[in-house]
Amino acid sequence: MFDFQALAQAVVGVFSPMHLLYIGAGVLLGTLGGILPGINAAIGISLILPFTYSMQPLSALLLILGMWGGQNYGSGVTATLIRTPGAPASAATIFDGYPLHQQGKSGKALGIQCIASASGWFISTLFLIALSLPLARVALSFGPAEYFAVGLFGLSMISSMSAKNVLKGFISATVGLLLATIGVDPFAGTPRFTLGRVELLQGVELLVVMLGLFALSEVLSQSRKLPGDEEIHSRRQDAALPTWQEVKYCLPAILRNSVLGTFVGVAPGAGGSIAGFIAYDSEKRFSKHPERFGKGAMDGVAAVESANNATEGGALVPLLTLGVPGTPAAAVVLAALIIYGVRPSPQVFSRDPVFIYSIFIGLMVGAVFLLGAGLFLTKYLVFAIRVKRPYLLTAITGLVFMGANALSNDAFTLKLLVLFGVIGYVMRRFGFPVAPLVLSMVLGFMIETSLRRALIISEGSWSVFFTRPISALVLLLAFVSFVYPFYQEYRQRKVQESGASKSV
Amino acid sequence: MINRRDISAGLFTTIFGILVYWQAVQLPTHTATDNLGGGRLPKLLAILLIAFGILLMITGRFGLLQAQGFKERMRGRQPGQSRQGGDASDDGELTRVLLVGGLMVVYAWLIHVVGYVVMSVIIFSAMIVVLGERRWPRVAMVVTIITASLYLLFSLIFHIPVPEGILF
Repeated sequence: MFDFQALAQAVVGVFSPMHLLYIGAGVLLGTLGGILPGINAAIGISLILPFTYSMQPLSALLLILGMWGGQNYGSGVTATLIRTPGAPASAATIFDGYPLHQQGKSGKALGIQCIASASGWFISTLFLIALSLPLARVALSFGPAEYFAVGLFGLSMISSMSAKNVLKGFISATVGLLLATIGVDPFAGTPRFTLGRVELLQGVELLVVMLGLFALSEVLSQSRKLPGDEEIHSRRQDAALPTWQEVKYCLPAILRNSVLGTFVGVAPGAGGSIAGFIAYDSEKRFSKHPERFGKGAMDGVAAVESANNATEGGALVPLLTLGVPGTPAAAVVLAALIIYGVRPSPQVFSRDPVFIYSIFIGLMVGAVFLLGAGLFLTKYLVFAIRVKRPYLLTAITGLVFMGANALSNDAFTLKLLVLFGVIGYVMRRFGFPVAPLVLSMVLGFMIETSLRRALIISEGSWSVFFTRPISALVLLLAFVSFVYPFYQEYRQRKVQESGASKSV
Repeated sequence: MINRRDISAGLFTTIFGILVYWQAVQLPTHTATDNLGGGRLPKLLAILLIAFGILLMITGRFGLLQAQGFKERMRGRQPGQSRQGGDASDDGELTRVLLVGGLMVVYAWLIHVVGYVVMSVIIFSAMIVVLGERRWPRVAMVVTIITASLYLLFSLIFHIPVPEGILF
């Protein structure tokens, strides 16, 4: 099962001072990013990407994965201190984190958040190891038909779960797939949708799309807010950390919800916010003192934070084994890997086990680092809450432009960046989710090449997708996730209509 | 209830789909070995866009598909508002967005002509003022810090080129 020689090499590699420094820097930068308003994991990782071009793939990936974990924790810090989550993943932390802060127990709240976050991260890494190694072996038998089905399933799930109006999710995903077709056709070598521009022959750069859709559109969205309506830091932070008794009381909640968060993370489309809310609801049911929930229950905070951090390990299962990202942050990580020349697949597990084991070990080290850094350094990072919006938005704009410019140092890239920033803003205003667009763009290449390869192998017969059992099953699941929102809408209407007729 | 926003979004999607189809028609639909060719998938996607666009117009017209999805329902329960999606409203909000967007356009178009330092100082100052900071000494200080920090990070530490124009 394990290649112990590769494992030893990975341990030596990850524990080198440089890699430890990258992991630590990633966790700290991620925590800081999570505290900063509007910077979610996808934006944070997109902003750091340009600095990683000259790094070794593993070094860059350790930095990015450290950032992802730190970001999940950082967004919960502001949920507790100013009743405003840095990212949706920590929205449910407010329920009990903020009451704890109001009671003068912010140190305890942040302490338990940190312990839960680090534990969730660590435990989900153990599950990642346990799930991805066998899954990678199974996936070795996957052919183009299965990859096409898996890609379609991922898109269908994400599109149907990410928008209020499911049609908008599907439109967003379709546009993403179209964007992925821009450039030279990988089979025929002829240009598609390049509009005569040489710059588009290689396709649209993923990083430009991500920076524009995630970061620049966020700047435009936040520009709408009134000047000077920044959150007020209402109460001084208390420094007392949770006692061992309090930690012990929260441990079952942490363990339960770390497992729950991992499995929610594995499902495409279900990210940290869903995991957090499910965890909070289920923990309230499990608790001996459900009456404390909403009034400062530490196990409530622990449940949400362990679950949302555990989604990272869960999301890495399909990402590393099949190359299918389930969340925007995972899509950015996949884009980063592609930029470094590593396309995740089951073959990577057998071809380069040192790389895979290094990721596992790096994640565990990152969780341990988060525990130390979170407990003792958070109080020095919360100054970021007070950064004024005009300064922050301007700094992000500068960072985004320079990051995009780093790709090719030409004006065309920057014009494209602004175009995607505006598209992202308009999409948000009209209720279109941007995540399916980015994810389908990332998956577009795999979906198209798998589809065409499968049809070439089957000599043009579409039955290849339905006669292979895994492909047929996954396509069926994709179909169910496509039609389910319509059925749900129909059912809700029926319930509303019957409710209305009863009231009459 | 008629949802005009969905109707206009659906109309735009349909028109966009038609344009994509018109472009995709010119692409080869099959080769000797490849039954799909480079054009079949874009055509299929264009048809999907047209279909989704029409459906969006219909659902917007009859007020369908307005029920909250799973994520929306979950999010709707949160007591605080995520700082990513805050929605303030005042008369100047659209003007601010247009001005910030306009500054971005100017920055993208001129930075390679004029150069990083000069353009950054001008655009960053204007952006901070548009976003509400009117204390000029602070504006000057913050712009200097941002411009210098980015230059230090990209050019000097990571050796990533910054745009050089006639004025640098």
